[in-house]
Amino acid sequence: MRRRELIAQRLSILAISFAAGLIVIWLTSSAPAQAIHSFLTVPFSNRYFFGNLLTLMIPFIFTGLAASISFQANEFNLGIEGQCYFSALVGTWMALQLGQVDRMLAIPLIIVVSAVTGGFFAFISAFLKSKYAVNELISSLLIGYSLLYLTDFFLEGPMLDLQAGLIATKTIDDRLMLAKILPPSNFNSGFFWGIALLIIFYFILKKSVFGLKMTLYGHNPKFSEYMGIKGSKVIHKAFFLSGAVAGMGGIIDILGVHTKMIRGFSFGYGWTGIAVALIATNQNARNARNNPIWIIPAAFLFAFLESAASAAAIFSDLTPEISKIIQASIFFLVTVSFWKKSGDHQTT
Amino acid sequence: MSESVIELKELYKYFQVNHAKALQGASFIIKKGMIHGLLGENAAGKSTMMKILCGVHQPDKGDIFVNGERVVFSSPEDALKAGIGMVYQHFRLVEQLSVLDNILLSTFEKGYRPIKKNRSMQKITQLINTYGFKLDPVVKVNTLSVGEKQLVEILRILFLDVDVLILDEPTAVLSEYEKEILFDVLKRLKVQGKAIVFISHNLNEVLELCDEITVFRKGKNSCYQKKGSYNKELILREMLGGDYSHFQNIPFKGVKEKILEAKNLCFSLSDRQLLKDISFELYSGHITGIAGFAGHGQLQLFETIFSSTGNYRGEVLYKGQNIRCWSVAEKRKLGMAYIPEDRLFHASVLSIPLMYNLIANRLDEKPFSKWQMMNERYVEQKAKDMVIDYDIDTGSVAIPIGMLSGGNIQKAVIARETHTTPNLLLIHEPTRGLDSAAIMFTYKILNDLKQSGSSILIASSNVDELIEICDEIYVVYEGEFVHHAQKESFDKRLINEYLAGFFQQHDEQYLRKGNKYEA
Amino acid sequence: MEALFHETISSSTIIFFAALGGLFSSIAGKINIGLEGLMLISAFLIPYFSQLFGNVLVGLSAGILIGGILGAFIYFLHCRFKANIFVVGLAMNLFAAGLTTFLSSVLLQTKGTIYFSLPTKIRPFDIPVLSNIPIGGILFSHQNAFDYLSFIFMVAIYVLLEKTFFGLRLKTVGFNHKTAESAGINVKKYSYGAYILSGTFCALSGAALSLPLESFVGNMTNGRGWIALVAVILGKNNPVGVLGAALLFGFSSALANVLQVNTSIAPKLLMTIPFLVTLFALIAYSAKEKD
Repeated sequence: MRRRELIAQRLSILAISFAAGLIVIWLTSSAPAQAIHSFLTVPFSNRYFFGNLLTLMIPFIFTGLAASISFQANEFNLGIEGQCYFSALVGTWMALQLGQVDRMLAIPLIIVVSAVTGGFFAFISAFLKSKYAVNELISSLLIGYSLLYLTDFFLEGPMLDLQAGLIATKTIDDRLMLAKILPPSNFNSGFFWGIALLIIFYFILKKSVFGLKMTLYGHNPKFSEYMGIKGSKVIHKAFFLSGAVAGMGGIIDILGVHTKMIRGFSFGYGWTGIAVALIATNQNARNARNNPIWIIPAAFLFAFLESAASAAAIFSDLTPEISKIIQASIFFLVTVSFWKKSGDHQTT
Repeated sequence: MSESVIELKELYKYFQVNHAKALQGASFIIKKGMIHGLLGENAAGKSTMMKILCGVHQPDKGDIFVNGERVVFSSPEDALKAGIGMVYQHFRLVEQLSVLDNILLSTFEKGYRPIKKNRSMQKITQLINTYGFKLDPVVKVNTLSVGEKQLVEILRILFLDVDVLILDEPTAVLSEYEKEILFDVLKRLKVQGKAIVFISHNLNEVLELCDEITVFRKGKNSCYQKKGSYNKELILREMLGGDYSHFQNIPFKGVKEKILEAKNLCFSLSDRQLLKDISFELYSGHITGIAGFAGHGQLQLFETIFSSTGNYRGEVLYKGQNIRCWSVAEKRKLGMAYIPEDRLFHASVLSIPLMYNLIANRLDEKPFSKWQMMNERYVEQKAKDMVIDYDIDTGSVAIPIGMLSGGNIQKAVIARETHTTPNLLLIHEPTRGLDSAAIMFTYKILNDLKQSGSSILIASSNVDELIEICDEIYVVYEGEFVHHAQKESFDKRLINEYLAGFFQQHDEQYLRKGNKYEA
Repeated sequence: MEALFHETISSSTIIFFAALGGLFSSIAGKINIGLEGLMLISAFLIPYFSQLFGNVLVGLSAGILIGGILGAFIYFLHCRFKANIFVVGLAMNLFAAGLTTFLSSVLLQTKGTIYFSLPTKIRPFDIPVLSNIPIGGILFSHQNAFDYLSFIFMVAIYVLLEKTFFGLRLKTVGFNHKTAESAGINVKKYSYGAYILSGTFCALSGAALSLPLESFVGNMTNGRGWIALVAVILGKNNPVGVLGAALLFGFSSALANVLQVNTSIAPKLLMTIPFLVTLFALIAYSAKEKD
């Protein structure tokens, strides 16, 4: 599908979804005009709101990229939620041990540890697939669910900070937090880590041998086998990278915003990331290679929807869940390829 | 009884998907109690026309008349209800079900209705007796021979009380003996007043069996003849119209080296043995052919040699070395190449640019890539060279390969696999789907490779082609080599018989399938 | 021990119904990934409608109807718009999570656990006479309506799939679309049918989950839909096999619950048991199938 058609399609999806949202707002609010106004303008109205919108975008970039990486190989890493959550815990633990270490050394180390953790658990699914032909979609999901519970077990038990008012770990040393960019909001330098990863991945995808192999494998595994490309190696690497990025997303959110690991802080990050990737990569047109750059606007969109809904809830009588409806219609519309129609097949 | 007639009048059909003008105003008449032969080369429009009659496709222009009344068949069900049924070239039987179940599948009973096995059995047995089928309805389809499967297909539509039977290339996969049975059945059907359309490109059979013949060429009617006044030469000329491709079989002048040796290869899947004790040797500068109908183990043989799963018993030695567990990448490094049968789906990625398709077998080689990064400029340049060398018709090497025509995609695949001058080239059905010019081109490439010392292994069902280009031929039947001949002693008739399973050493096999065999 | 048995049946029933939903789509060749989402939506809507209309049967019917429509919708997007069926299934799951949160917030002003008050309570009961049979009687005692229903459906679905034309044709559609078409089977009709059935059974599953508890909480299904999917795979498209797998998984769920109550092992760890059991079952199955 050509680029212009693609953009037009994406815009119409947005238009339709927003229209759906506006209708729902109209129906459920007693002062719809006010609600719509808050919905659309508040997030941009000042540094605080806009900054928080951008902050929300950060984890979505990571999980979106994570999902996108697996999609390139035509695989589904559905365990992102779990990988993100558990890796964040591991990273937090690390951070709590490194209180006295220099920041320049500690922060990258923490992030790497989280990355490796996430990558490892995702890798398990890839390994199971290559060795035992286990469906990776299901295995990553099952492991993901287990990881969520496992993390909670630690959070509620050994790592619990008994003095805090909520289920969380001890607070991480201030020095290890990521720099804030747009005070008084929480927008932090984690954003640039995300963008950097996107650029690196773009580079890998388009320019490296591995990127080409992954694309070829994703489009046609049998062909790749005949070309001498080892499918198992491709999915091993792809899943590891996917899990690693997911893991990074979690810890960066902690270091940038929360200062400690709070139970449920990343609830929905994984699934939103998958949704972001669904929008950013075109599942149906099977283009030569998808451009991960679209993750940025997609992440922004979802972040906007959440912020807008919260804002509308504060300033009008709307429920914040309104964002879910818009998201919901986006999910379905995105699965559809408007321009394709079924045709006859040639056989004489 | 009036002669009921079906008339297809001036049909036009254009397929968007690959820009093919399948039918350009062709017409056809079917009469009760007559066998009408429909002849033509590949892509002449024969199948398309019949598929329109059967409701599978809709014509862009033109009409169908049944007994003078205009009809429209919008689905195969419509056509079946009107009494028109087709036996397809590629059988549409569910292997895992029995003959009876497969026939029952065709009925129009409501879903919640229980299957009344007894009543159906009665009707089937009656049909079997009337028309001389030799089938047991209870057995599973995957135990039947090819000829028997075809009879099941015919039985299926008879069960639905069709008056018109259309057979699409029925004899392509039959042995001489099975052909006799089929013709016998068809003649009985004719006597009972059924109308039969017999699509084929085998002229002799059509002349023998049919009451009238229509020849199609490039989507149009080419000529029509009635029995009694058949003119064989005229028909041949109308059908072909093109040059024959000829292959210069020049012997190799270099040193004859044994490149590959296969010893006692056995391969089974579930409980079926797909390769039974296959052994052979391949030499440099030598073209070896494996003759056989589709599905007799060729694919498994290629996979055993080329791919990296070691699921077989036996040995494969490349220049003396056992390459059983070697990866595909390592085998390619040795100089092996493979052109699989399904060029579109196994040998290319349609949405990826041509240039990457052309070098996908050499991704890790310098200078295509260095330090794990692709060298795009080099790839582009090499691709452009290959496009020129192999005469691939394309404006740019950056467009997805799927945008090229089928023939050019094939050329690209051949280009990729032969450009490296492989020591051993495996090809499956080298000229399927190619036009005369492309066929000549392929033969030239094979010849060049042969002269430069490569060993080539070809699997094909086209015996004439193999006889023309090979230095030796093996015939494979159900996973076994049943015949082997050198160039000097190629016997076309014998090879064809072995191909179809008609051979002297295997009586018990014959009896098991229920065929009679006269010594 | 008896408690464990009854828990197992209850948990298995929920998974079994959803798995039946998955079974139809799997036999038809395109497995439904959206089981989890369909279950979740029904788990909310059915008690809600039951309360709204003051009648559980009406609520159930409404839920089943909506389930069928949603199932058909999934296939519609795939059939008409060439959407990747996995992706649509995923979308349905995401949609369900959002929709249920939104509806519970808008319609009932609650974001946490919602408590319904239903006119008819779904409580366990004994079947007279049969429950007194020694040993076998345990099957007929102390189960709720859904559990007994599942026995009936087990037989009914088996007959439907193995002994009628519908079953034969559905299988053919799954084996090979071309064969099915030339046999005169309307592939579209059967595929839609499979997906509608998928939706309706998921609705039953959701009802079995939330009606007896008279409550709904966000993400109530908690992965059961996915476990049901694995049950379909393990069952090899055979209703009896699927039942067996559902029982296995129901047992692991029940075990986790019983251990939670009776031991001091950390509850969160115990909750990983069903998932890990499912995972290992899947690994064992896949490894065996590979050879």
